[in-house]
Amino acid sequence: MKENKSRKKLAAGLIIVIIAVGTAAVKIGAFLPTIGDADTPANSYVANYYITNAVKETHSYNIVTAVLADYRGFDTLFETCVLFLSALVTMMVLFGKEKVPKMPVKNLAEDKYSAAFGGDIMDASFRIVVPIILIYGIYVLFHGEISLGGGFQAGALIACAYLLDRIIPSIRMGRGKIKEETALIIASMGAFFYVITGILPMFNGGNFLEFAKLPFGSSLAAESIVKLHTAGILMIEVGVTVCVMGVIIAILEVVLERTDFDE
Amino acid sequence: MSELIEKLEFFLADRGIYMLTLILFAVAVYGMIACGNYMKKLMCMNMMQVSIIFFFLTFGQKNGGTLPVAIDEVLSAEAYINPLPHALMLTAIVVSLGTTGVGLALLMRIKDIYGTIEEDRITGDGGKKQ
Amino acid sequence: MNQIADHLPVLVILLPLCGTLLCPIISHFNINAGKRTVITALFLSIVCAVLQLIQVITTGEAIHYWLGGWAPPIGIEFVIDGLNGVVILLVAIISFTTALYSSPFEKLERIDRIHSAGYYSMLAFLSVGLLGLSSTGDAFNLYVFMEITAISGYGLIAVGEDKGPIASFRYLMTGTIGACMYLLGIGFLYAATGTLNMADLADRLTGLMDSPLIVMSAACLIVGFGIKMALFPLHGWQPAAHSYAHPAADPMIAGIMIKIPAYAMLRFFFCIFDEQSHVMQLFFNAIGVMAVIGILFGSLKALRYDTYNKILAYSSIGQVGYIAMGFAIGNFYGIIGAILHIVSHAFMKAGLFYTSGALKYKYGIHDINELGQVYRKMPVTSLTMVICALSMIGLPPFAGFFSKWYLALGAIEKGNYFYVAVLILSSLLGAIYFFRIMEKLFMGEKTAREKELPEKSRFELPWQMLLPLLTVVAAVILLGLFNAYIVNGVLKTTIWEVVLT
Repeated sequence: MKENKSRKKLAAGLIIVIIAVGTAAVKIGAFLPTIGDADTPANSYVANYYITNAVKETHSYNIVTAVLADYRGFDTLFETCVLFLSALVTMMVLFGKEKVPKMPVKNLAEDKYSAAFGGDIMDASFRIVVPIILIYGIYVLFHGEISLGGGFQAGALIACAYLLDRIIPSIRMGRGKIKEETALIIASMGAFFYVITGILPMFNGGNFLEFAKLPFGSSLAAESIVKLHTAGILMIEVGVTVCVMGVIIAILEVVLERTDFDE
Repeated sequence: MSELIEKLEFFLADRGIYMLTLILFAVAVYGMIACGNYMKKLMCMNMMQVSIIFFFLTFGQKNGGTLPVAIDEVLSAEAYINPLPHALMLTAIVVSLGTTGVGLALLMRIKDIYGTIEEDRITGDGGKKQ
Repeated sequence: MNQIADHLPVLVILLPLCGTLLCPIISHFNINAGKRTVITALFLSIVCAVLQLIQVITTGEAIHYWLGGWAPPIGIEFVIDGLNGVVILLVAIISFTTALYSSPFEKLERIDRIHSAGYYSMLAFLSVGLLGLSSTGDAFNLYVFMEITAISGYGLIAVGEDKGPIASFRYLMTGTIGACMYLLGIGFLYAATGTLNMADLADRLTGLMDSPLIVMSAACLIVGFGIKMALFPLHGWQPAAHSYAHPAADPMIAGIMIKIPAYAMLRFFFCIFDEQSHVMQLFFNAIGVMAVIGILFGSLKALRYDTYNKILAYSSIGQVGYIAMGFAIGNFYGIIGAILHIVSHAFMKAGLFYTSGALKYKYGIHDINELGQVYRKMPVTSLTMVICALSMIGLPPFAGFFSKWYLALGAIEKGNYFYVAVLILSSLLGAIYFFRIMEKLFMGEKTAREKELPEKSRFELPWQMLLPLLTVVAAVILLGLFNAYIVNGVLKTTIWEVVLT
């Protein structure tokens, strides 16, 4: 109880601080650029370069994808690494650590209809839904640079199809499962494919991640360089997709291992 | 009454959203310190990250601009909103997702070890001991 | 060959990254091969860091590496000058020795394949994050690296001792507030200037220094970096995290994970902001107050504890205060002192945590009351402990003396004798708590019983653990003896050209 009291005192002090910060924020807010103004430094300096040159230089009609995957591709590499790292840490913290009290898995498989999630209707409908989700995932992956979409979303969709396949069919309890370690290896290979895409131009005289120097086309025509940018963006999107898929599957498997369906 | 609403609308459209996001940030930080339950703390942490994302997206806005997906080779800077904050915030969203995932995993482990995720009970049982 | 020399700045980071990504799949086939991949990659990274530092010193110019071939305000660049060349080399050396140091612990714990591969992956990711943090020239890229560092740190703390998960969770909460404050600061800067490149920010901020946006941004950055480097009122996460982390990874977490944010803070406050402006002087005064209170608080608090790790953790709070004091002094000697203290304290604290890990390995405890007469059984460990502790107190031939010396010179030049008094007082306090540890280790009555080890080694410890200890001793002594060469040959010109312009 003493803890509780001291925390309340702290909270009261904090409210005062927050009010002070709030009044300061109102004053400072007056110096922030007006919302929607096109002439602010934020909207006019580097941003305009991206808008006017992205299509010419990277052949990516989705300018956000051009910024994300090409101009600032190095950020995205480490963003993928953060995802992989979170799966790794989850695995290190939870994998192989006994949950107390642990329920035997055997009972679940015997008692197939009452224990698992779903029933006949779900069993039937998921067979229709899963292929559509997979096709949509692939579409989002390849269409990412022209319209909205990209590797992260595609990976999440494909993992979602796996998730449905894993939890709905009550008969196949425990079968068709990807091992946790395999999923982690898939994720690491996805991120590694991204790194390889970045390293390839270095053998051809370019910098890391310089897609214009990818060793696929030899002619120096402007058109082929733009095509190389497309190839590079597609390659890293594939890497990101595989990584995200692996990460989600790894976390799902680690958590499923510890689930008590009774609760 | 309608005059007041008009004024409020003008205020929000002009600079008010900054204040709303900063207030969201302050509320989230307050919640992270004042809540006794680790799960609530984690949710407040997520709120804080969302408020930062709002803040960035707000100043990337442009009147009359559309989504930054180029249509028919129209490449004038006024036609599209600023793509850079969107790209940055995609990264920030993924990072916050990773942090939240790690936090949830740690919570599961803490629940295993201590049997509870209330801060008072954990520190009361021996968090203060060396 | 010439081609490789062009890519050195990115190779320093890419090699550990490749190692860590390949580690799970190689471990799947052969558990030892995965471990060796990571260690080899970290060693190659040291080689690249050395070559890059030599290149910077001989040409006398900073290396600019454009990632993706895009020119700076559009794309991301790496900037390597004399200052961060040294810091990168420091990170690479301590990462390599820590990875080497970890392998006996693995045999001790008899862990399975996934946990072994995961441990080395996380260690290498921590190294990647710190290397990137010190070499990047882009403000948002710095945030991404900061998060890589933080998340791998959470993992390494959580797999540590019994209270690891709870310490890790608290660090996650506080660390995320820090990262968000940093991001908010970057947001204000971006709103004011429209760019994210550090050199470009510095150009476009001239004349804007009195704008409230910049004031707010600087305040947010102080809080953000302060949390990451455990500056005094924001240090709450640090003692638990440093005491309960994995004993093998602790040298890296305690040694360099709180120093590199301090270096990033230096980059922001001296290279980007105009340190002569009225506003920044106010902020430096605030940092000075935080530093002074932190130094005294850390030293006094360290007197209270009997656990070796806790003493070292609280002593770190005080030592980070020295670095912040160097920023607060803000003239040439102050900056030299801060940089030297970043380097020398990284080695000293890593060395002390290596000895702590060795005690943990051999006896399984940290309570100094039970570790009497240890020097008979472990002479090298005790010697390392003594040398690092004397250096921490600040006795002349060792590295720790010179950083304090430069700090004192800077404070006298600025006319601020209060800082000098604090330096002397805290050195005395440091002497008290370190001599207390030494007294217990050398003259204590109670001797703990050794644990049963999986394999007998010829020396007091396996060679993988002795090598890091000897490296640290050599570094502390050499940094002290060749101090003048390092200051005059490497740091001086860079500080005048880059930091104090």
